[in-house]
Amino acid sequence: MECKDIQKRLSAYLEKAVSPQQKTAIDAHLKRCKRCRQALADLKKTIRYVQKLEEVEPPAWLAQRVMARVRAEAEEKQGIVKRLFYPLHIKLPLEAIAVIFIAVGTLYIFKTMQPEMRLARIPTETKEMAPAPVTAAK
Amino acid sequence: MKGKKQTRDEDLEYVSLCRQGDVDAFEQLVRRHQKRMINIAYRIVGDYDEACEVVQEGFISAYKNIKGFKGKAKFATWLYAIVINCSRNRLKQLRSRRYREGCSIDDPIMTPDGEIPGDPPSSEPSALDRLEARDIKQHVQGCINTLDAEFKEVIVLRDLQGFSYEEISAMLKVPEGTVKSRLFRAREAMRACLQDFMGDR
Repeated sequence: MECKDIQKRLSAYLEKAVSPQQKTAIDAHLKRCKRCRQALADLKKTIRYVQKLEEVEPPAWLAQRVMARVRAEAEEKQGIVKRLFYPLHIKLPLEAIAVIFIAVGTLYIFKTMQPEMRLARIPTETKEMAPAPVTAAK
Repeated sequence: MKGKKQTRDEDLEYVSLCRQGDVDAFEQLVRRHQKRMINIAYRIVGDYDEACEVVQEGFISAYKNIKGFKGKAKFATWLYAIVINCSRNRLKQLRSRRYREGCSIDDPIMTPDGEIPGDPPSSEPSALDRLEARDIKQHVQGCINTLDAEFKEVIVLRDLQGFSYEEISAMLKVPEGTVKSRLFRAREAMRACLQDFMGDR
């Protein structure tokens, strides 16, 4: 491998993320190439500089503000949905009772109307039936 | 490893409570992850106040989309992917705002040293040697700021946050090979930017 290829792999080499063959090749190359050794040292230093950056702390109000917005979000969502469908444990029985009432009501109306319908049908039936026996009698 | 597994399980417990409408469970998740979130956002965006905004945005977005978390990856991975996305978008906004507003000669100039006023500092050869530790850190952050977003992200996630290639690959939704090659190029760019300091330190 040439220096260019070696240097390309140094970043992975440092983290032991190269294949064993590559590692042997890189090790061997580093032994005899000063330039690549320097490149490796520079890379290590670079990473060390980056790692020296300290962590920052979140401000105390951050979680509070997030939660205030989350709660507002949750309430708004619930407000719309609740008015339409919730609480289910109240709305569902109510709806079931309503359905039963409508069913019973419909049956009742239908039953009370049936005799009238029969009555209403009788005259037409007799009318239609009436001429038949006459012709038969003739 | 054991510790990691434990937090993962606890996260999932809170996540499922959260899905059932338990807002307090979400607060636990916020408290647990806010520090990681702010540190990722801060190093990508390069500004503390902006990072706070980004983290808030990230958490709200996570809350709204928590049903979209399928549990394929760790919850933390999913959450950090969101904050990375938010940071990326914020950065774009900030850049385009800067572009739209145009620039004048009096504007500070973005350099690896952070923002420096138009008047150049004296260029004595010993100037670099007199830099304090604080200045070095500022310079390192300045160098990160000059990187493209995709390189910045891998540097922050790998060298600062110490995530594994696998985790980074899941967060950025790119193959591990890509993470590796981006990291190489990002570190190269950082090395070039930090060259002045490399001498005897």
